[in-house]
Amino acid sequence: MAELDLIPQDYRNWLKQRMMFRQYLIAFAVLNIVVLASSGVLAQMSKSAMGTVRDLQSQSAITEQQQVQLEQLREQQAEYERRWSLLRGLRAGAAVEDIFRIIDRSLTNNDLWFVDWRFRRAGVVVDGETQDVETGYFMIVLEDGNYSDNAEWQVETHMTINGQARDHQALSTFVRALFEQDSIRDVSVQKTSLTDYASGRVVEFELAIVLNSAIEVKS
Amino acid sequence: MAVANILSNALSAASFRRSSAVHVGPIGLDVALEAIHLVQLEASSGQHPIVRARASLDIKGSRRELLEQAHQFRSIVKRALTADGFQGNKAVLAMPSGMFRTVSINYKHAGPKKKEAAAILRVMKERLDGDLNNYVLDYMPVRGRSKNDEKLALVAVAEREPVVNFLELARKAGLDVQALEIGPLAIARLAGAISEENDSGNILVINSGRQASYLTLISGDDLLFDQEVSVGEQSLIQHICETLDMPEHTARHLVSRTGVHPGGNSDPVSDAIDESGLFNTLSEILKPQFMKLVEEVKRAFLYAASETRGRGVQQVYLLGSIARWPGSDQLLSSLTGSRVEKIPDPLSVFPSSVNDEARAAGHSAPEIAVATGLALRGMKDHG
Repeated sequence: MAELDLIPQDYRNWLKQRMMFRQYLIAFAVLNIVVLASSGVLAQMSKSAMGTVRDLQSQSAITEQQQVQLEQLREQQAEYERRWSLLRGLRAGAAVEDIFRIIDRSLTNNDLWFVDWRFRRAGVVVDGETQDVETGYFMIVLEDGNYSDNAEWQVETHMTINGQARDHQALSTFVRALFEQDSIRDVSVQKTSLTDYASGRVVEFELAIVLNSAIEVKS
Repeated sequence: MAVANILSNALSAASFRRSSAVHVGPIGLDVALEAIHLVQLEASSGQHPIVRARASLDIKGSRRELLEQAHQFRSIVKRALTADGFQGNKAVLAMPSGMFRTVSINYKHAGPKKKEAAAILRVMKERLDGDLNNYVLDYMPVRGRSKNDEKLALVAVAEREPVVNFLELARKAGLDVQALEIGPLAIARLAGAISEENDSGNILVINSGRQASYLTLISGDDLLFDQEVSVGEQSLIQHICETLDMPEHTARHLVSRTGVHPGGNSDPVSDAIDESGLFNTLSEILKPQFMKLVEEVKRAFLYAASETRGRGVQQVYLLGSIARWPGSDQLLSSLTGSRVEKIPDPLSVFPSSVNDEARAAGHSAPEIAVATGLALRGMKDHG
């Protein structure tokens, strides 16, 4: 059977356009809602991420600060250890009475006598080169806390003896006797001269005696 | 045993899929004078359609008021839709009677189909007042009735503004209007569906209204003509009132209770009335009025015979307000000399689903004939 339809075509077209417009509006609204929701979620995620970054940055700052503090403490520790080492070095070595005993053992007869006797034990700054008379080295810490690469501390323990001997034979015997002592590292005759007196001629001398030290070398 | 279970399950699933392939048709909506009627059919593939849902709600006030008030129309449609198991909002509507007219025209056309519409428009332009743009019209060519290059068509015409207003009313009520038809076409479709079963040939449908009645002549798949006759229920009732000097509601009650022909009701009360001669009195009063209708019916018979090479009308169906009078079909049968029957109950033509069976059993609903015809649109391929 043929069909009749009294719906005007332009009305149908209007309905179709209206439906399409409605669908477009709905799609647009849905899209907007999705975009808004997504932006909200993303903003929240970004905010959360920024918070995490800030936390990590602050933790990182704390870690760096702690590292600096640790470094400073290490430097302080090193400085204290150096000073402690120096102090140990300064305290080390033969006791003074032993030194006298050693010197006394080296004296034979009465062919040699002392006029002046100087004893020195101190940390001295050296220029990084090994000295003959050295017994230890220390890193130098300056007052401002910085290090000097070349400057080093050296504990120097030596005696300077000025005296007179009856002759060179007596002086030589004395020097050899000193060398044979374990506590004596080096003996250096600095100066000798002959001096005449009414009673006779004597040999004036100046000796530098370097003693072994108990200080360990530190680099 | 396990294999048997699997096969059984597979067969059940296949059966379920088959039964679930149900085509649900559009909702047929008829805004009648006193009520709105909605019918929706459904059909499983290869099976006869059945009534899925139906609802009839009385209009409070007049139909004109209902059509002028969008909120009232929306309210009644929503109530009707929720009253039964309607599915979707696709609907086929019938233009209310009085808002359209049908015209049978002869036109000359021998060219391509595209030019056929132009030929019909040319004819209609001469018949209509004013600009054609103020009208909405559609036509149905009557096939096989061409004489030389002269053809016959039934044209439905309505003023554009009321049509658009009615469509807007339906749209605002939440309906997706698939098509806007006319009542006679819906009746013709329903009658065609009925005649498919009993091959009743040419059919004349008398649709009686309050103010007028409509004769619809159907030949096979063709709607030959639809004609208005100025005999309605109101004029018949008015004539009884004047003759018997009684108020309208009494006359209406009398006619609807006792009927107009003996044998309309077969109960003791009717028998007593029959014996009192009241049937004869009413028949005699109404015959002159009915004769106006009968004359038009006979003219329709002649027209059918002339257009269908003498086949004549094999079946006359009566529906509408006069059809509700007991014995009206028998009175018209005796007057026309042809078999006049009340149109079969649509609920009996289209078997209801299991749930509707009990409901359908106790009710005859000839008033939903137009709505059923509308609901049939597009269902034929699935039935």
